[in-house]
Amino acid sequence: MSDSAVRLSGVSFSYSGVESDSLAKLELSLRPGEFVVLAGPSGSGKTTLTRLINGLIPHYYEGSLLGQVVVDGIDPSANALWRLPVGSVFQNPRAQFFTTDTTSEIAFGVENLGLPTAEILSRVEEAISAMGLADLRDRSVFALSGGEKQRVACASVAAVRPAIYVLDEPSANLDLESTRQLREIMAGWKAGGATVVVAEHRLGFLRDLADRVLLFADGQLRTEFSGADFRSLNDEQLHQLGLRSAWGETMTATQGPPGGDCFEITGLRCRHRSTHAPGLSAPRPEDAVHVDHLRIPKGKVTVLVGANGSGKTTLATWLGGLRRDREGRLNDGRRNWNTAERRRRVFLVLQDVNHQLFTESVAEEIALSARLAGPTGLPILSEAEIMERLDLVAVADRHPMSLSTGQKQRVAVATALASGREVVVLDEPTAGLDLHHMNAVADALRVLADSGRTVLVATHDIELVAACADLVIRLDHGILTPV
Amino acid sequence: MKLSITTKDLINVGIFTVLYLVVVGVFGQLGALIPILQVLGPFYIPVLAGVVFMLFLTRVNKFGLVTLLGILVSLLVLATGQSYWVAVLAVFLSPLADLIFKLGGYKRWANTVLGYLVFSQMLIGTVVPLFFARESFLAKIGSRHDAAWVRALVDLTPNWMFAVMIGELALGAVVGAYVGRALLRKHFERAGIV
Amino acid sequence: MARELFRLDPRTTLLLVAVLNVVMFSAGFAAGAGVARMIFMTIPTVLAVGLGRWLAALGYTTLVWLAFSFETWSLDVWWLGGLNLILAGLASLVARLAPGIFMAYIAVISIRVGELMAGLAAIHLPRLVIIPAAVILRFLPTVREESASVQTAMSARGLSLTRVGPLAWLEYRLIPLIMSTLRCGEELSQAALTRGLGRPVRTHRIARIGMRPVDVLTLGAMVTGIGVWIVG
Repeated sequence: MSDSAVRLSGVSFSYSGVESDSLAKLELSLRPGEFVVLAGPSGSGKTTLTRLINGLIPHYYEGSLLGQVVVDGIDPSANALWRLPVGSVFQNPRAQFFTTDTTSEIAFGVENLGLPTAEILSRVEEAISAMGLADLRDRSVFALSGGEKQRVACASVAAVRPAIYVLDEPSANLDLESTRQLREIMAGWKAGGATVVVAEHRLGFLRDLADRVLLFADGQLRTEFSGADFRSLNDEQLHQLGLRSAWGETMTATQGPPGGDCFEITGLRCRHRSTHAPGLSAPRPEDAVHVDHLRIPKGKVTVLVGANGSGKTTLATWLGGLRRDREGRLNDGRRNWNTAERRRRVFLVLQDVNHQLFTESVAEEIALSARLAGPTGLPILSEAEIMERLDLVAVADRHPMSLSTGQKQRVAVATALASGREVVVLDEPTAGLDLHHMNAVADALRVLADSGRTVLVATHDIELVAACADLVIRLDHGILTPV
Repeated sequence: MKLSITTKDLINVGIFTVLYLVVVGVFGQLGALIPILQVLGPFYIPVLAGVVFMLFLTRVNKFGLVTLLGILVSLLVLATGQSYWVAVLAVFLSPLADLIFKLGGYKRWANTVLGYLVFSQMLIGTVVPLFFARESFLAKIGSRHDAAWVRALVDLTPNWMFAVMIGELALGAVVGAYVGRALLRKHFERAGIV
Repeated sequence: MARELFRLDPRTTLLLVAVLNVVMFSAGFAAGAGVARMIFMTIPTVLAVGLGRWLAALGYTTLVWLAFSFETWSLDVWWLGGLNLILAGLASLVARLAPGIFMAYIAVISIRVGELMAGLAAIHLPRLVIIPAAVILRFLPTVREESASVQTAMSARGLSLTRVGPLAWLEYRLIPLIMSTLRCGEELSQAALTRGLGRPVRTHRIARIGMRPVDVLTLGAMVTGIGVWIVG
């Protein structure tokens, strides 16, 4: 027995069907009550480590595991998964619910412990009050925002009172305010003496909580920093380590009103729409937008910022011609584009890029867009040229779904370019991306603008703004506000 | 080696039951609107569902899961107003299909095709009343209406259509197995999902 | 829950789904059977109103009563010849299918996953049934969401049936749907496993189930319907 919360000695793991080790010869010991941040680029082994701790390796993911893992004195390989005192929160808030209403969901983990009903209820109440979820009680999970979902997931895990919390990119789909709330929850766990392990790209909100930061690259633990050492690094040093900024979470970029040729949106009113959420009688809101006058410069990258729920997605789908709100005009400087025309001439890259790649290879995906392209006044690039400019040549024959999220986003940009459409609207293209992939997406957006496309990006990624914005506009509760 | 059914397996069965139903139910019902497709339904439904079933088999390595899937599918088909014959057939056919797969180690292709063929036959249950409950149906209405009406109804659904539909299902299942395997190779293997 | 007047115990709902379909397909043309069908046609209307789904209730009720009236009426007045036969067949199909389909829809929108697990455990079904059943109920809305997203994405790319042809259209429509549903499934599976689903203990679920007055009333209506059918 040891006094470590988690101890790994000589651990290597490779997923079945994959040649190389996803994690190699790892030596690691975490103290009880320690708050540890796992940093490093995508594919560096962070997620694999979280799976070794919460038992998904070897109980869910098969592969070859060498070395010894001990979690709270237990060997995960020799014990059923439910014996591990580990609570896990995952990246996608949408998919980690087993039930369809919030109260059952918060109770789910405790129920599985086999406790008596009274004890379950008191633990659920405790979790609800600890995380300030009183107004989310008895709601349909389908009607919650991403941030609300993530807080419910945290409450469900916390009600079990695990000794160790493992979080895999919990903030990937959250805006700043939701991230702040997530931070409060994690601070509470730390104060309660639990061991917390977080794999993340966004480091700002974890900066003050971290006792230790482990930097991974290529399946190896490269460096580690104490919390104090980590806090002494500035953004430039972090970027050199391949990490996202930990300090720049406030907006600095401001530009004057755009000159030159512009698209103009006037008198846009998108009403708040609520469709019935399946599963329970609760409305799922689509946020309202109220824009009197907005100029989007042609051939530039305009970044639209704002919290979740501010109407960014509504505006994007309206521009793409997927909403038929009668009020509102998009004018290209000469004439108005109606809904059908917007649908034909605006290319929309939706939030979940996984839904919009259809074919069996990157090259074919781009060719499909090219085949469907209508007439355009813009320069048409050949498929080979597009792959060259967007750094996709190496993956031309790969299936789009086998790529990383960042690469998929670049494929989506490539299809936009091949489609010849004049306007490209993207919704959160850098959610969950590491520094390298975020920069690659920013470069891809620049390629679009340099080829004469008008680009509008909805995002809450401040670093993306710094990396590619010609103009920044802000939407707050559906209304344009000064940046 | 005796493998027991895990929680992960059960969740998988739930997910694939939904996927199978969506393909059979939603996409299958598209045909209900177009008369010619109604007659072709027994053929193209197992073709469409083939990819889902082949995908399911890649995650099956023990007896019981195909059986469970078949029974759950039949109960849900039942719940949307189809004949109980689907469930009756599922109780016999899905364990039989399961056994055929098991004898091939859930891998051998001949067993896969045959097993899927057997599994798909449960869908014939949806039309059983049309043919076999007809006598009682005709007896009931025959007392109230003239013979010409009854004759017309009989002519619309000749008995040999039943045999044709069984044949369609069998052919559809074989084609579906091959189409499913092709799609698995084209998409799911290359995407690293299988 | 907003605007909800009443809801049944999940076991009552499931029993109703089963019994209703049996009645719809087995009840013949005798007077008693007709009354039984009318009773069972009406129950889903009442339940939908109870769930606050006024529009759905109105649409269903109009459709099913029109079809039912036509089925009954066209058998008595025989004057349209072959057309009458086809229309009567169609009306009969709608009148007998619609209540079952609508009742299944009510079951999906009204039963919560937590209640289903509690209800099925209370009638001593094994986890072999409870877990897949819960996943099915959980996943039906997910597939609907994913399907809508794929449809939206296809519109955005301009991938219409007419431009790409039926086979490619089916492939683009189905493959991403299956892939994203499977991905959701993997994540759901991991979340459930790490939260102790499958621990071999007797679990108590906090979802409140049990017979309430509406359940007794519904069961009463069912018994009456079957009684009339058998006697008549």
